[in-house]
Amino acid sequence: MEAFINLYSGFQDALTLHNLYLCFIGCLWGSMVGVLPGIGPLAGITLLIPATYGMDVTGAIIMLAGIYYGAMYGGSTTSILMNIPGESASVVTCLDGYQMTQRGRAGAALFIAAFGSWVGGTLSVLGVMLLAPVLANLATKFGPSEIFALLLVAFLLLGSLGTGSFLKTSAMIVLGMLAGTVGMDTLTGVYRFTHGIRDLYDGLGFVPVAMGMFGIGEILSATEQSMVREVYRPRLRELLTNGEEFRASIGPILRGSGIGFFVGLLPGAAHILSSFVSYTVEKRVAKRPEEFGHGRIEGVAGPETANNAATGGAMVPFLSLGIPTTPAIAVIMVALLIHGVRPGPLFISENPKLFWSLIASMYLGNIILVALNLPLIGLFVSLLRVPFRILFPVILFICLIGTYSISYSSFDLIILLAFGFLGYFFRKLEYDLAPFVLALIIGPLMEEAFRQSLMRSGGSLSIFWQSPIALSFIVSAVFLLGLNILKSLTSARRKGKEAGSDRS
Amino acid sequence: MTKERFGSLFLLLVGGYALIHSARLPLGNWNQPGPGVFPLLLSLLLSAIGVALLVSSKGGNKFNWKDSLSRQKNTWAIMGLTVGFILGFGRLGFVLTSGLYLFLLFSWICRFRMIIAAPLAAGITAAGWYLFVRILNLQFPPGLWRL
Repeated sequence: MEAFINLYSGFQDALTLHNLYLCFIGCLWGSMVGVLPGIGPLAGITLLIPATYGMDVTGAIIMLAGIYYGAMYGGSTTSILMNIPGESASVVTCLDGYQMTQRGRAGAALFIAAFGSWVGGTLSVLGVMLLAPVLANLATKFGPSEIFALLLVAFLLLGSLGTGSFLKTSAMIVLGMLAGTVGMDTLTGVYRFTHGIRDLYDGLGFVPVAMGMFGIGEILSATEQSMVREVYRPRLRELLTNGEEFRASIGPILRGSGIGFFVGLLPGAAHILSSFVSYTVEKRVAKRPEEFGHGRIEGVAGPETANNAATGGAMVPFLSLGIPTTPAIAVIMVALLIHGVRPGPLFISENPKLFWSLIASMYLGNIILVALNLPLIGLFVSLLRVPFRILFPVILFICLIGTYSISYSSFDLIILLAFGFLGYFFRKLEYDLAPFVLALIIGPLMEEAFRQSLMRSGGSLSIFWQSPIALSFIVSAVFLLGLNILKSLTSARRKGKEAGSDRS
Repeated sequence: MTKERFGSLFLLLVGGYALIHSARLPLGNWNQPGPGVFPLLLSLLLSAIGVALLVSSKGGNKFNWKDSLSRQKNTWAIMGLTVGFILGFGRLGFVLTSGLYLFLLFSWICRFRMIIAAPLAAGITAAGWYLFVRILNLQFPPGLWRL
């Protein structure tokens, strides 16, 4: 009951003209960056961080969160109309969405994607509202050893759920954590890996690294491919599903909401994973699974609902534990830190107004997004008509100016370019980039927790299994590690057998 | 060389560098761990992963470096132009650097004719200036002629 009273006061705040306007701007910008392949929520949020400097923190987070979940709405448009996912989470939508377009049902696919996104988004906000305060309350009992053990589990989950192999994902996590050690050690004041470069004393900035790897790296990869893309333009009167399509979508939308929210709680590629899990579940429960991949509306409804519900799920560990589970959430965390607010176990109790305004704005944002995405579909499709060879110099320019404007440092531009090349290089080698940037921001927290635990225990490692909470995390970590090693060994053995049979 | 092998050698190289550097940092002791402990553990772990990937990389697909390099002309050109942007930004200022950078991207990489590339670059620079300087009130280096 208390939650609903708090939500009421949150609505009072979120419904002010100023905050509604910011929510609208965030949703509109998010939909636009979601539609455009090459600019994701990460770049979209980064670009608007400087615009938040003059705002109060509530308005800032309402707008930035709007970009985050708005991008998930926009991501489906390119998947359905062009067979190109605007967002990596919309890859699965291409399978049936594009087939529906080719059969003249693009409008119905777009409508169901938007409707499912609204249901998934709204239900997941309800989940955040109920779960985040409970989890935050529990987390206030965490000491450094519990935090270290929790982060260890988070990293192992990241390793197992990444889109690449466990070893490759682990390598990216360790590399990201190593990058996080650059700069002054906060406990002793010793400089590490700085080689006397003053600009490195504060460490590698998260924004230039993330923008470089995702923004510049993506452009460098994309310019190697064709710059011509074909777009189908649906008419508004086509945006209606028939009764049969709508009925068929209800089950996938409800299942997708649950799957998306719970998968969203996990660190790593939760959005991608949630849509894949939802697609697999829908295929499994379908009466005619062989029709999937040939334009089934369930193949659009489930995954699109799930990836939007995952945005709500990802907010839970972020707001209650201070653990960003996606790179875009990590950028929101950076923005909050700039405004002097640190997400974590005390965030909700110390900033109740901010938390409940954000929750209320997310309900409103989901309504704004449906209202925006259906009537304005023509406008978003027009964006796609801008040739890529005009678009990519603009994206590069925006990445450069956006990064510079965070700390007005030319050195950040060098970091941006260097990590852009690194991102391009790792894409070529088929390494997943998200674990690297997440480890960059979580790694220093883990190191601090590790060293503080040892200091408290007088050097005894037993501190990591003395408390029941830490012990349960360590047991989970050992289980996950064992599972991953087993999986890697089985896969290596299978590959060896395949290679052997190929030779014979 | 396969992609897998190349990747694992890169990891070993970074792991080796981090190992040497972190071993030089104060390591402290177990009840007072120094700043070198965590990077040392990480570099050991990275090297171990590199070795594991190297061992498991047998029989992977060979990477066509020649073909890849021929497609990388645009990549290197963009990198070069961006280095130019970074060097010029502090000296020439927002308008001149952005205009020149966009013009070179449009004409050289995107292969627009000069008559199209020039107004495109000028238009986007003007829109960028209006958005970043006038609306968002960002401060950029004044550069030449305070542009």
